Amino acid sequence: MSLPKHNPLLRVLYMSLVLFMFAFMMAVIRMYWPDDSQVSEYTDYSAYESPLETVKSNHAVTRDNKSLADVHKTQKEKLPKVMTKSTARQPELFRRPRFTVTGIERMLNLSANMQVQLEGLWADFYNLDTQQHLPGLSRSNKVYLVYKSYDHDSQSIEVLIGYQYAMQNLSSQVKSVELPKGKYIKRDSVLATWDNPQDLPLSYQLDYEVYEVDEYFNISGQRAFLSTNKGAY
Amino acid sequence: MDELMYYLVTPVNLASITDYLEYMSIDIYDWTLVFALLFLIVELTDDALTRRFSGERFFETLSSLVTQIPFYFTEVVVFSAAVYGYFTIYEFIPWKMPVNTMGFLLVLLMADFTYYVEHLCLHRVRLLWLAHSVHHSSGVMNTATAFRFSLFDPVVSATFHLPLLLLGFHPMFIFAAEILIQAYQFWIHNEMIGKLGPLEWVMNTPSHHRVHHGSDKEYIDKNYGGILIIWDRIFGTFAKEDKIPTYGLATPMTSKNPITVQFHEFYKIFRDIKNAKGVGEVMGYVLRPPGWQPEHKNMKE
Repeated sequence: MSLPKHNPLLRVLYMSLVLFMFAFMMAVIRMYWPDDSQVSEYTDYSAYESPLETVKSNHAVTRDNKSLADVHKTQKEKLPKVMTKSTARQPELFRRPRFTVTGIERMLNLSANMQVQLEGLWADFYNLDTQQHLPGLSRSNKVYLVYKSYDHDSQSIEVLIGYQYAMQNLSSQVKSVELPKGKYIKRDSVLATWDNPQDLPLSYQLDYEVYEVDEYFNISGQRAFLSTNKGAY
Repeated sequence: MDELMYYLVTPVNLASITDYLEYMSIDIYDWTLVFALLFLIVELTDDALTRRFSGERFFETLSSLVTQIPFYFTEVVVFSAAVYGYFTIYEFIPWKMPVNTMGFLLVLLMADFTYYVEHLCLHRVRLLWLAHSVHHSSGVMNTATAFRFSLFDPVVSATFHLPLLLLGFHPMFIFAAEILIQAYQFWIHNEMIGKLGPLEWVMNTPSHHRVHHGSDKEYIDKNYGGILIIWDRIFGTFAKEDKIPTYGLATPMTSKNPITVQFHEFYKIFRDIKNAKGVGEVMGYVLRPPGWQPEHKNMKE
């Protein structure tokens, strides 16, 4: 059996194009794969509760890694669970695109019980009339918690809880924040990572968590992306 | 290279594996179309250089490409409806398959088998053949044939993948698998690539697919596979390419008129149904394989 007569050069070109296409497609497939293949392992949700407990009993969040480590050492015995999942691995860096999150913003006090404050924020967001304040929002199963404007002296922080949503002329009840494009360190929890940053090159500029939720805000997955010092990697 | 890829791939927020699959599969499909057009340019240039080029081949190619226009419109409507419908039904399914990488590989394998079954039905049920005959009516085998679709094809596809949804697979997994299997089809419609050694054992290749488009007796209703050819080997519908097939329908359709291309089988089934005696014969014409006739007609012949 023989194929119809072809120009040999064009045939080689054709086959090279096919091979190039497959190589190119493999590159497309691999592009964002590592992030998600790890997300898929997250089935033990109890692991996500421990970082919040850790933070609850250890309010010190500081830019000084050494002092934090000391604090951590003295309090180690008091901590029933220690988050090992996020600290055992080498830092994983992920490129994240720029996008806007819109929702409710509050100033939270890091020296008070963060768990209670965060729960209040979640409850307020759950009760937010999205039809009125975020018109045209398409159904989303991802809630973002953005941590920004840390003030070390007053131990305060602005936390915005919201959906990926960008619109002009927002009502006064909701606020927007643009998450900058760039490389982020991926962890499970922002607060737990601050609590035990080890040698991570955190920049403490703007960090955020992504929660997978159902319509009743039952959380089925959680990831954190922490801003990093440029050029560190 | 990574930086380049970052800008080539849609920069969106990929926060979960379902997001990833959505954008990855659509990116792959879009890029496949770009590559397919390059393949076609090379094929047409080759036609010109080997003096195979003719008005007939050119207009046949053009006529295949034109089928994309009506197809595109129904595809947008039906696919959007299917996305909405699948996600709505998914909410009500009490059993859910794990949403992870292995889950997706399983869906991909099962969707490939679904494609095999769907494809077999498209050939063996005349109602479905009304749509699929458009893809087979070209006497030319080049990449343009991969673009040749009926405007009814999207409906069939959305229906056949429902069992995967009922098994509890995430709709995005199913759509992504479907899109990837469709994208795979664009490199197997050509006469440029010969046999590919051991790849021919498991994968669907240009050689296997030329057989599928053959109207020769030994090639009819063979090689239905999508990405894998193993389904045909398992279920006995496999045929090896021993000679270059005669492409097209058993009863050739040579029109280039876009309306005739879309509806030529409709005219024929309408004529058959009009002459049918009783509901049984009508059902026979609609649900039995193309070419089926009632006994009394066979006797006459």
